[in-house]
Amino acid sequence: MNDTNKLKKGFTIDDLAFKEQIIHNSQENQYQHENKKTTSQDNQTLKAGFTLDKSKRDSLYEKAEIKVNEEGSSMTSTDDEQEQEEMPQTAFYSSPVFWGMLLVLALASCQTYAYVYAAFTQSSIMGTIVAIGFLVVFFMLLYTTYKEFGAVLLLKESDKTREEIKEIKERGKAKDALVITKKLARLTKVSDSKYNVFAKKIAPNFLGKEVIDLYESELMVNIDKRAVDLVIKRSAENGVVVALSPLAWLDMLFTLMRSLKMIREISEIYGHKCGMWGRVQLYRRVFKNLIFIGMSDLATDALLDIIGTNTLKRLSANLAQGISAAIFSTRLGYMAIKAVRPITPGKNTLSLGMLRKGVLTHPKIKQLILGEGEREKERARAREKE
Amino acid sequence: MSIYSNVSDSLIEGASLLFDKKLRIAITGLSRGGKTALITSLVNHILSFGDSSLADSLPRFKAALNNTLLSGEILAPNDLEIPQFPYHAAIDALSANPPKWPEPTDGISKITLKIKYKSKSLLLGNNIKTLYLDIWDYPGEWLMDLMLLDLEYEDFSRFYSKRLELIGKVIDPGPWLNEGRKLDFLSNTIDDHTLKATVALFKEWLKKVKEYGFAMTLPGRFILPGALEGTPILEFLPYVWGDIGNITSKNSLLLKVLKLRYDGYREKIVKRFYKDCFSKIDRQIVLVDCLKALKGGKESFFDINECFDVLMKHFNYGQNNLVTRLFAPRIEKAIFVASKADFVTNDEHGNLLSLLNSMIKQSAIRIRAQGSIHESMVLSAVKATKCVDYHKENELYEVLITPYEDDAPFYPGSVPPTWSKESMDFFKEHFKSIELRPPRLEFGNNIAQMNLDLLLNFLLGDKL
Repeated sequence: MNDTNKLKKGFTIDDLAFKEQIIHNSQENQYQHENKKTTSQDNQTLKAGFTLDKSKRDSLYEKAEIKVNEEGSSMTSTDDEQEQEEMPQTAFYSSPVFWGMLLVLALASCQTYAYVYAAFTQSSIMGTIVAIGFLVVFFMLLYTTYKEFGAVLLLKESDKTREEIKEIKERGKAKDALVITKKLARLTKVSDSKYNVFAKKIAPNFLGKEVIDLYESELMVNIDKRAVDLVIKRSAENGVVVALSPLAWLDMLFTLMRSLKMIREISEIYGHKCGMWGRVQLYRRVFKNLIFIGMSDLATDALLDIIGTNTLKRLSANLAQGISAAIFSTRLGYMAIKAVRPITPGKNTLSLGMLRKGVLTHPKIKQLILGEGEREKERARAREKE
Repeated sequence: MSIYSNVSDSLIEGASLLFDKKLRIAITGLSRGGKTALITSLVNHILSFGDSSLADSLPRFKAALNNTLLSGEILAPNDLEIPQFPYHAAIDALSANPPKWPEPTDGISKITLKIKYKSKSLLLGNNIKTLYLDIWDYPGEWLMDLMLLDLEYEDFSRFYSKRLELIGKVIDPGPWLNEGRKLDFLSNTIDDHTLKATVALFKEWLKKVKEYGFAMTLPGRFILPGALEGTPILEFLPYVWGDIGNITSKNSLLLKVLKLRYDGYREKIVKRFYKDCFSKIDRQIVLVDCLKALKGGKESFFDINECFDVLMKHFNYGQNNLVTRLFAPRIEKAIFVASKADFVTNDEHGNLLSLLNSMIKQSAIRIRAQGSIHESMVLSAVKATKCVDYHKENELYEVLITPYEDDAPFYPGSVPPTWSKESMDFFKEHFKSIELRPPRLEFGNNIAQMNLDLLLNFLLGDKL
């Protein structure tokens, strides 16, 4: 078998033809940068670019090297069918909830009709007012539904981005990586100037993985820090409340509320604005992760936890509960970040150990432990006196 | 005063070694492999350490990205016998109008750099630290001489007899072999005239062999004698006119003289060279010009592969401890570099890298076995081309352009990812390359490079 089939022959290019193409391309590119002002008239003036002096020519060539246009990506993204293949879903019409909802909707429509009809029979003005009121409510509902769907789609879009990034990390080029990082920057609201500083560093010979890594270390660092800080703060708060609260049901309610809030806040940090339905999707994902994906993360952590619980035994029951709650809360935060961060976080970016350490050294928890120590001493002193 | 300064110098050197603050970097590469260009580019970038724009040009060098570098400077040479690497001359050549490539090295030289950087330590918080770098340069022609350290004159002669079977097919050794036949090895006198003539013809042949692309051209000083031009130490030959065992038993005077000169060459020149440049190194850069190796054809390709295998045996690899660091340092990290990556388009870098990996496989196994870390990469120390997109017959190509108007843009073609007869023939026939001229270095700019940040990160990343 001849293995030279894949090899390409070298060639030289007629200088004039080359210049025509390159200058045309690079000018196009330049114009895309300038808010896509390109018109056919502009192109005509651009073609005369042969007489440009060398320095200008060089700068055009520089621009020709990396083109960040949205369509330019040569990577094929995974489409939804593929995702569905991986996870077969039951048809929506087989769900009893769907039929229940349909029934409720039908009843509600009948009732509304009856209500409006009754209003019209009373007086036409009353009827009109009621009808308008219902219409307004109906449109408001429609609008919220639309927005909710937007949030869900955003989450789906982020999944797609993740897949694309994974592929680029494996075999992508700098050009593809730049396209995707630009998308990410927009999603996480990185300012254009910051993004441009980053993009300036990328040379066309970089590997896709290198560009993504650089993006993470340059532009994701602050966002990650915000997310990690948030998890630590919320977890510490949870811990303190659980330790101090006298009622178990109050703890549970409070922890649940705070945890849900934390998940939402994390998703906002990573650029997902969740509506209600989006939130439900998000919670589902985080908890699913907590149950399935979480196992591997937790297994590595199990040993440490055993030591941890042994140490916790020595503390008072309330404090131990508080700290456990805080640590569990960090796990939830960890999963939430893993679920929504557009680039799957590496071990150096995020680890359970890191979060746990953060929580245990958090001033509030520290204070709690120190307070416990003081109380213990006082009790000892009291015993001595006795 | 001088005694005091000598003592203090040695103390400082000892202390910096002890505290792991000095790195000695050897750049191993055959002639025309890009050593001088690489050192020039390295020094040029190290001098701009601390510059705020450094992260833009070296983004994958963590220390530059994190802004922990403070400064880099060239230190005055402390070794008075070894010339300093002509950095400024190289920079002048690159910034001349028209720019020229730095002169190839014709002797040993060294450059010492001092790097200041911020370091975070648990005890002291933020503090400023210093790292010293020693970089050695030498002509690539001399590198192969290290092989001679293992060979007695008899082995050398037998080695040559065997080499002639291979090289003789490509470059005719007839002239010097015929002239050498006139030498009477059994006589009591030495025909100095014929000996000189044979040696001269041998040298000429050797140069041709090198030009053809063979790397194992021994002895190296026959091609580039440096200060030894015309000295009798360079007037010897391998005995290839029969089995050397037969003639040694006959007590030949000429053979004694040849042996004496060979031993002198080995002891005085090669050992010194080894001691100066390679005996105390911590990090090694091995430059491989893969394209040149491919262009030379099958014989030259395998010759270069073999060369690296043989050479690598002369270096000590492994991790250092306090004692070895002071007295017999080992190479902790080695990086194999496919140089002149600007001769191919970006999409071919993957192939170039896998070709390099196939070439260094044996050496890499040896390095790993001895406990050192190694890496491989493609690099262009002074980047002379740019890669741009070009559509030809509905197919998108990346083509190369130079800053010079009169250079036609070109697509060099594919680099085979591994060696095979078919791909080699294809490469020889279809690969296009032009004599690249260096880009002009504008005042205040750094030398254009490709992947130098990866190299710096590998070499210095763990120390800064």
